Amino acid sequence: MIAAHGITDAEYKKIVQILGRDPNFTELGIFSVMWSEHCSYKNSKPVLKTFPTEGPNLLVRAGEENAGIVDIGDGLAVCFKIESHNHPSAIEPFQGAATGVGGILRDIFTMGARPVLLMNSLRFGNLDTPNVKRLLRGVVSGIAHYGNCIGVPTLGGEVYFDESYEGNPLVNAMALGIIKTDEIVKGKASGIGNPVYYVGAATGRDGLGGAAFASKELSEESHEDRPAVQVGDPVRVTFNPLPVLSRATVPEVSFIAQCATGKFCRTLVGS
Amino acid sequence: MYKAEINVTLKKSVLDPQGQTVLHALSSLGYQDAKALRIGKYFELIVDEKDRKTAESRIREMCDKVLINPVIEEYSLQLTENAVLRG
Amino acid sequence: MLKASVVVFPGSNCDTDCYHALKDVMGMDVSYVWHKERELAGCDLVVIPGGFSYGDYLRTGAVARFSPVMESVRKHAAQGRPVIGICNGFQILLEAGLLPGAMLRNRGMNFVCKHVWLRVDDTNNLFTGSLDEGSLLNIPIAHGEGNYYCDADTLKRLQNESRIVFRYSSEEGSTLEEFNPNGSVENIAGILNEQRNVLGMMPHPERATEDLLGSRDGRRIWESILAQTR
Repeated sequence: MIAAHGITDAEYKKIVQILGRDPNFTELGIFSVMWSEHCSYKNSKPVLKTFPTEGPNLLVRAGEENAGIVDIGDGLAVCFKIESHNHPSAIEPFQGAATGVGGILRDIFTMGARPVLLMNSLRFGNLDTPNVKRLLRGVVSGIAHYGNCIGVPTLGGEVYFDESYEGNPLVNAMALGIIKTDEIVKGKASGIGNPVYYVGAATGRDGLGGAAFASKELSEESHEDRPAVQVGDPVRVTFNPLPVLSRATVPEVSFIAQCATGKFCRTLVGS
Repeated sequence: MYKAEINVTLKKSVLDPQGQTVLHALSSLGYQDAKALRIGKYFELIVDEKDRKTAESRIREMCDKVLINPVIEEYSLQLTENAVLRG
Repeated sequence: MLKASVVVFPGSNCDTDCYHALKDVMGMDVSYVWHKERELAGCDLVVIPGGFSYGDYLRTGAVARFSPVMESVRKHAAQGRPVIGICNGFQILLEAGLLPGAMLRNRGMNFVCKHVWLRVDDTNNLFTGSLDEGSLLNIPIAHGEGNYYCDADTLKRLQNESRIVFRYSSEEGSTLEEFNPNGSVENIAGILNEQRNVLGMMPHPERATEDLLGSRDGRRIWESILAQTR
C-alpha cells in the first residue's frame, strides 16, 4: 500500500519519525500528495533554485502563492505561471494536456487576475514513430480545445523533437493574466473553526490519485493508470464562481485556493 | 418502461469528412480492405410509458425536436420493454 | 442612441468583445442579457455572440436554442427588428430555425483561425445597406464548424431572394474553391432570413472594429446598422 502511494522506504521512515508512530490511511494519502514530485518538485528543486527569484517589481514571489505577480505600473500587474503536465499527457495526451491548461488557468484566476493569454513549451520523441505522432496530435488538440472553449487565446510556444523524450513527453502550460494591484487575492488562511467552502464543477472518480500518478515512473503498465488522468470540462469552468467570490464582493472570504492536484490538501494542511 | 436504442447518421446527401478522414487513417495503418465509413451517434433513452405505441410516439417526438437535426441527420430506432441503461 | 443587447449563454466567450466593440468603439447603449432572462427590455439590436454555448454538447447551438431568452429573440425577430448571430450565434439561429440550413464540421476537420476576405453580395438589408455590392471586407474567422449546408431547394431560394450576404473570397473578390476556408456550400459566410432582419455570419466583425486588431472592416457593418435603424 505504501508503494502504491508512491512513497519510498526512506520516505516512510521519515513519516514515522515525524509523527512518532505509523501513519493512518488518510495521513498516508496526505504525505503521498504533498511529497509527490508534482507538488513538491523534490527532484527538480536543485535546478529550479538556480533561477533568479528577486526583482524590483515583485508583488508575489515564486512559490508564495498559486502564481507570481509583477507590478507593471498604473495600478496594474501581470500574474503568470508555467506548470508541467507530463505524465498525464504521456498516457492520455488529449485530456492530460487539456487539464494542464485548465489547471494553469485556475492558478491565474484564483489570484483574482483575468487570464489573457496561454503559451506552451513542448518536447516529444522522434516524429517518425507512430506513438509520438499520436502524442503530438493529442497534446496539441487538448491544448487547443481547452483554450478555445474557455476563450483564452494561445499566443505562442515552442516544440522540440529528440529521441530522449521518447515515451516521456514534456508538456508545459503557461498562462498570464492582468489584475489591479489592489485586487490581488492571497491563498493563506488562518484561524480555527472557520467554515471551508469547496466550490467548483462536478467531477467523477477520474483524476483521483492524480498527484501520486503524475510523480510515478512511466512504464508499459501505465495504461491502466488512465483513470488517474482527469477529464477536463472547460465549459463548466466558465461558470466557476471563484472569480466572483473575491474579497471585494464577499468580505467574509478570507482566502481562495484552487483545488487542483494536491491543492485541496495543501490548502488545508499547510506545507 | 421502454428503452430506445437510437442510431443517428448524417443524411446520405451530406458529406461526412470525419468518416472520410478516419477511413483514410485505417487505410494508412494497413487496413486497405476498409472501403467505406460513416460516423454517427448513438443514444440510449429510457421513457416511463405504459404502452409501446405511446412510448414510440414520444421518443420519435424527442428525436425530431431535440436529439437530431432533421436538416442533416436521420435516425433508426429499436424499442425494448423493461430494459436497463447500459452505462 | 441605439440600444443593443448581447445575449450570454453558459459557454459564450465573445460576449465581452461584442460589448466592447459596440459600446466603447461604436458608442451604442449596450447591456448583457443572461440566457435565463425572458425580457429583452426594449432593445433595438440583439447580438448573439460566439463561443461554445453549452460546450457544443449534442450539436453546436442545439441546447442554447431552448434557453428562455430565445423566446424573446424570436418575438423580436418576428417584429422585424434586427438580430445578428456571430459564429456560435449563427449556429444557434440555425438550430432555432430562425435561419435555414445547418452547420457541419469544417471540411478539413481542423479549427481554422485566421483573417479572411468576404465579398458583400447583397446590400438590400440593414447590415450591409451602407456598403456597395461587391465590397471586400477583411474579417477574422475562428471556428471548427463553419461548413454551412442547406439542401438544393433552400440554396435556390437563398440565391433567388438574394439572401446570401457574405461569401468567402480572395482579396480581389474571387469566390473559387481555394478561397473557401471550411467547405461551406457556395462559399457562404453569412445569410439573411426571409424578412431580411436576421443575419447569421461565421466571421467575427467585433474583432475587426479597431486598427489595433488588424482591420477596421467589421466597423462598416455596425455603421450600416446604425445608419439604417435611425
